[in-house]
Amino acid sequence: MTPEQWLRQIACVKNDFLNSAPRSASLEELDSIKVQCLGRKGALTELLKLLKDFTIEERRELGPAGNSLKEELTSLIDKKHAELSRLSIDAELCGVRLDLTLPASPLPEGRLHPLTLTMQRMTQVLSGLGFIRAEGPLIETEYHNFEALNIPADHPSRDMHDTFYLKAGDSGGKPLLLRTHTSPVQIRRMEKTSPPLRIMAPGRVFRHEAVDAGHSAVFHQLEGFYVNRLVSMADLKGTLLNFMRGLFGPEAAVRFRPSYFPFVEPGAEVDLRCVFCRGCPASRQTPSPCRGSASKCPVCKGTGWLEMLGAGIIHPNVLKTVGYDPGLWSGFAFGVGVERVAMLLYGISDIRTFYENDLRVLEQF
Amino acid sequence: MKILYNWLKEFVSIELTPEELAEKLVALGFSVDSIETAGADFEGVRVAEILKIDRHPNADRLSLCDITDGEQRLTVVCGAKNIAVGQKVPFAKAGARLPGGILQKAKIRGVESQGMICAAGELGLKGCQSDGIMVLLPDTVTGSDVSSLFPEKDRVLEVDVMPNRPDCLSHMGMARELAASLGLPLMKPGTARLSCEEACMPVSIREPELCPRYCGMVVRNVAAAMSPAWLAWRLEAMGSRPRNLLVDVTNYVLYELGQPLHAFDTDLLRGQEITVRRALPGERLLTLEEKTLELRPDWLVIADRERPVALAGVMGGLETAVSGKTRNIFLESACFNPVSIRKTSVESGIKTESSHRFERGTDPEAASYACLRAAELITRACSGAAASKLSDTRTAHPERPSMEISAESINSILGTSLPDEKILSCLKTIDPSLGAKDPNCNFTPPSWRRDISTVWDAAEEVARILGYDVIPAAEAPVPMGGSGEPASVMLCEKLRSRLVSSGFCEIYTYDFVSARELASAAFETKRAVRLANPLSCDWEYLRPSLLPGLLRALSHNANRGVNTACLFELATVYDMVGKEPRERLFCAGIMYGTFPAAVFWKKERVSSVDFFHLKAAVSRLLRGFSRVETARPERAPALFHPGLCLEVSRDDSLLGCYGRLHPSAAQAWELKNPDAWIFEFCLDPLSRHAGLDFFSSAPRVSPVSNFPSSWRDISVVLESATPWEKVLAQTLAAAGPSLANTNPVDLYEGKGIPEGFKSLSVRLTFSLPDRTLTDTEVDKSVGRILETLSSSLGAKLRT
Repeated sequence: MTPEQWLRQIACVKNDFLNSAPRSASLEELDSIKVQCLGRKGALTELLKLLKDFTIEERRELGPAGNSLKEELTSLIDKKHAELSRLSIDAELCGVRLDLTLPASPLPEGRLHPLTLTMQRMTQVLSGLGFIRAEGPLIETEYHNFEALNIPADHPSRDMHDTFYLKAGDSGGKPLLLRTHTSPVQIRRMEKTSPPLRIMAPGRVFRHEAVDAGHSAVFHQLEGFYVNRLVSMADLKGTLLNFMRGLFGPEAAVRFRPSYFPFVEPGAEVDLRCVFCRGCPASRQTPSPCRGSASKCPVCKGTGWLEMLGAGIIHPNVLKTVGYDPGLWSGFAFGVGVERVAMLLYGISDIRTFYENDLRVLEQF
Repeated sequence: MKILYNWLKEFVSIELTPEELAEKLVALGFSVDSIETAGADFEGVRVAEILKIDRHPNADRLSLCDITDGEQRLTVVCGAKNIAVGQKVPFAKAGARLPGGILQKAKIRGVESQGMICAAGELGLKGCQSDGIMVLLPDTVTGSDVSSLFPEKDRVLEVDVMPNRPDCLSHMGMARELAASLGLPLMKPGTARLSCEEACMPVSIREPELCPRYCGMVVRNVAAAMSPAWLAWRLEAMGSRPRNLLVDVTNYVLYELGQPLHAFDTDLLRGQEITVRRALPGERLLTLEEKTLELRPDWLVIADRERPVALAGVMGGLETAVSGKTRNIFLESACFNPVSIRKTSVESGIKTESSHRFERGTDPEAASYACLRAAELITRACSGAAASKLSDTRTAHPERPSMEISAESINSILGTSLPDEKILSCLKTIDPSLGAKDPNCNFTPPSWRRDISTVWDAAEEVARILGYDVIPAAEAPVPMGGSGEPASVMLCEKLRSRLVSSGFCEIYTYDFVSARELASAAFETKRAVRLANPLSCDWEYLRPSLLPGLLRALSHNANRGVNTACLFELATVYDMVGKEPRERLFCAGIMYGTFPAAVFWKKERVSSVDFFHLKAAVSRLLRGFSRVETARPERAPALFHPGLCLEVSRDDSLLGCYGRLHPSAAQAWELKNPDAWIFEFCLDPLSRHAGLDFFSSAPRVSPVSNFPSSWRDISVVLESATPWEKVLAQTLAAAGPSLANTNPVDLYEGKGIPEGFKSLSVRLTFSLPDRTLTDTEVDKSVGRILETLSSSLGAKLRT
């Protein structure tokens, strides 16, 4: 056999192999191709055995060609083998039948209460605005709940606070009550700390009123206040705008209206542009959460605005009470109902939902 | 307070619709709760007479009525049952305007109806409503316009007036407010020209502090007749029932000018003199509401020579009240101390339109004008009536505070940069005497604006007049930074996240419990904090424990088909320590049903929650808190199963207990499955101690070994009563540092083990951080452990 003939035969073997091996459909077929070509009596093996009959020069030329072909074909076989065995395993695995649409098995999974989630979000946003958290007692004195906040005894503004009183008094025999708002935390904090300060105080408050869909004798408020030099209504508006954007998204808008709270002056009622109909006159009638098409937005009742919170510049009498000089220091304060925010965030219409603790509701959080 | 749109327009000629007026009021700080219609809001409705009634040919419940409207005979379909021939009824012909819209012709069940016989509701007439159509008086003239029988249409705005603005509790006051902010003139009604020279009766004020001004007037030859219709309708629209001219005028002036008035029958006064004094011990007053009041000595009264005849500023007495027989009256128009009226009103439990205004503060300057205005209205309506001179007794001229206002100070409060002139022109609407050019001018609010006394008040006025939208939103303030959260807040967050990851759902419950619930939980009522004014007997006490609330919530859910639940609450509880109430932060939870919840289609065996599930949750809750110890309590708290309960403490302060719910408690809260597991801990000892700041509570990590570990199982026979805790303690003491892990793998009592003993198998794992242990070393350690267990606990190696 001449080297040329040998080379031709080698090319033939390669050709045959490349025509068959990649097309083999089973491991058995691949194995028989491997034996025919690379086995002990395989075509390529036989040709390589013939190399010993060539001259050294010829061997130097033909040897590497033969060996590299052997390597190439072996690696092709291995690759094809891996491919086919994966296919055969998968074919077997595909036979496993389980109804994957059945409901998931329960992992133990707890939930935080929506009011906790709401307070967490509120404090998170405010702490980004520099507010530090503080707390105060739920059982309060008349001094901290009323008098120090410019709500003297025998003043009609006490009518705005229906109050629970305790049978027991404090050590001095003065009446004790359940705080009607979180504002006493302002007093307790300012009594202890000198300005400047920026505080938020979420917590539970109590009003002596019958419980219905819109009223609760127990609810939560978040108090925020800031005292520094030259704090103005504009600072208040800026803070509240950012606060509302943190809760209701970057589109949130606020509106101030004059209002009266004895512990602030000027005082404001702060409205949030309706987050459902977005406040625009045309869509005040769109059916976003509203059922029925031509009806007014049921959340803002077509006004385009939602009453959110009370706020204002801390009354100079309050500053004087805690020993701050109102000529040097000024501050703003605001109080927002946590349930109010949670009801808007989660689309809850009955405040009692929060205290009923029905798991079918709680598990939606 | 109700404001009638047309009444308001008598004093200020606003060109706003009622809806626009409402928006303006809101912008000025007065919320408007509703806008309703009063009076006749319809056109083209005439009086008709029913001539004949037939059955509708196609409908049993309808009738065909032949009617005449004075001009023609028409046929109308009617569904009402109260129709009868001869009745005078309001009839709306097609094309008439009703509150609901223009009436169209209609075919009803095949018969054309040429109009509609109206019910009161269809005409928008509130207060006249009854079943069926409206039947008019028989002498009503057929064909006349029905709207002429009723007052003219008006709109009623329900306006919220805050306690700081008593000056706006009347139509005149609201008009004054609008006039100032809109730059319109205020029109005041004229008052009586007094032609009579008769002097009024003498008035003496014994309590000058409590009554700065008292005006009075005697009006003779009056009659307590019916009020003119326009006046009666206005009162009715205000929600006040008309009685007779004399009483109605006092009420009318109250709503018109905001000044409360009272009319006494002078002939029933004993002695023609009036004294303003405090009540004397033992005095009583029979009020207009026919209630006898025991007067307290600090209450202010109006008295004649012998006795109190009115509770000053709150309510008049019945004995001197105006009646049908009254011929002469004494009109009172006074000013009282707000605090005194407030106290009297609260203590006597009587709230009236008068006390509402006096306790907020009335304008002392308005008293005489109101008295004259009332006399004018009465003399105009009663021919022959004659008013005396006005008696005006003043004990004090309240000072009107005056303040230096600079535009700069206003701008700095509002955060605005308004020009001086703009600020001054706002303030001038309140104090017209303010100098226009002087930048630091003296601002003196009028007598009715006692709410303005500082520059902050003035700043609010400026913002109100310009609209609060004038306040810009400043850039968010730069954070000041701070020292982090209070320890209790961090603790709560940590515990919440641990409980949630253990599968617990957080709940919020009310702070109130009933005496019955306290009894079910065996809490002594005398140690519980009691409310002086509970909303109901179910809510008489403040909770001394969170467990009753949890059980209530569990029971609520169990009644709705829930059979597996883990709940927790983190909140304040209350109890009495000696005579003083105390607040403490508690965390409590309950596990109920299976754990995790059962999946029926998998046919897996699920286990009910048991003590060790609870223990896992509690251990996770308390992980990382040092010096926490557990022991069997001497006496388990009442809600706990006495045999299955452990007590947890830290540094000798008791944190609380965990264990099984007592079966009788399960019964009390009506749980079908009594197998509930509970825990309750006081968190104060955890947050009080140091170690909650982030740095010191961060765990310090021990290195782990890279060398293989070795393990041995040992089985020993012990007395049944020997607790695992002791076995573990002895094992650890004997083993030395190479023992990495000790775990029970089997526990057996029964055949092959003597009575009163148990067999315990333990897997011991050994490892060192720096090398591999040899078998000899491990065996030596095991030998030492067995020796110690045998000598200290009497354990025998099981063979």
